[in-house]
Amino acid sequence: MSETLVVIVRAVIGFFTLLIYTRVLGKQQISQLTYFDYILGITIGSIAAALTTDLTVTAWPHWVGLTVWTTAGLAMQWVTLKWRFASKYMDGEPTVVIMNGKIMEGAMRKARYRASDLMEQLRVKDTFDLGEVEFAILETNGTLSVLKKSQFHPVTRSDMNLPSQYQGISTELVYNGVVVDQNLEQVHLDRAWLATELRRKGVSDASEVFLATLDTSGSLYVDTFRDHVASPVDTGDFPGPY
Amino acid sequence: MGRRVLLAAIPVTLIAFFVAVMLSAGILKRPTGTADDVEAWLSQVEERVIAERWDDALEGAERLASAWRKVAGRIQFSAERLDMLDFRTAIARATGSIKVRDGAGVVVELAEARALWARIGGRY
Repeated sequence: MSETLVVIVRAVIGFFTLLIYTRVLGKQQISQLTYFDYILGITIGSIAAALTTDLTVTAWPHWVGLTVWTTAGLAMQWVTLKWRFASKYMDGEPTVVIMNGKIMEGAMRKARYRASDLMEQLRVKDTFDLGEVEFAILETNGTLSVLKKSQFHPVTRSDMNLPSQYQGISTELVYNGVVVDQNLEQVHLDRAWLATELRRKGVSDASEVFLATLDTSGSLYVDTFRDHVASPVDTGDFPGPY
Repeated sequence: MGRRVLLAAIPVTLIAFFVAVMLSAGILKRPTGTADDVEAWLSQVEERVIAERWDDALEGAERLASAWRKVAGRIQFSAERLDMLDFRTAIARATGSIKVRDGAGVVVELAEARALWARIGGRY
């Protein structure tokens, strides 16, 4: 009867169960989580931790708890996806905290949202002057969406009637020293072209490249494993070593 | 298609395996021979104590402890740890009572051990 062995086996069970369940729960980004999703995640994690180390109870009740919480979360996701009213009822609705440049104190009080919170979240959105804001909406996931007054919008190419080019996402051609042939084929290029371009940038072989990407304008970005930085910037404020 | 089935089968198989491990105590506590037949040795020791065959009872208690160690290794991942520790303690106490020839004490300890044995691996 080995305590260590039992903990190891239970940790493996907890780890892979959690991995499978979180995969099933979906791809919601942390920033898109509602408060409930956040609590759900914490609870499921805490049950998994108890499953691993609480040896006073068998693993089974913990595992059942984990499964029930995950299933309930999944059921909620399904209900809110299918039924708009349920979605509004459970996740709440966004709160308009600034409307036509005026702060909505009543709405803020209801949401238990302080003026200091508003100022802080505006600063995060690069807005340091309340006078620039037309609308500010507190989203259900706690983030603030800001619409500035039209006179404070940055000038765009279309405002200036300047021609603009299509800009898509760049494609990885070399990753960690390995040529990604699938991506090369996707952009209708081959290894010979890549080798020529790399030589032009002073790289003799793709194995020297950490990352190479091609943007939609045809420009190749290459970063090699060896970085020849003449005077590196040190952002640390302690001499170390750490 | 085959790849998709395989990808779905991996988590399902893993979950099924985990469930089997967590619920295996009830099956794994069953004896594979006389050396790990805990239930039989509990009865044997009790019978020998009641017949006041103390030396045989002591030998039986040692065989019981040995059988328990074998079973404990198998069921440790699915049985409640406190029950397992209590069971071990009950056997140790019974052994002590045999040494001082306290028949009543042995029977009490063995009764507790039997109740714990019934609980281990059972869903209650």
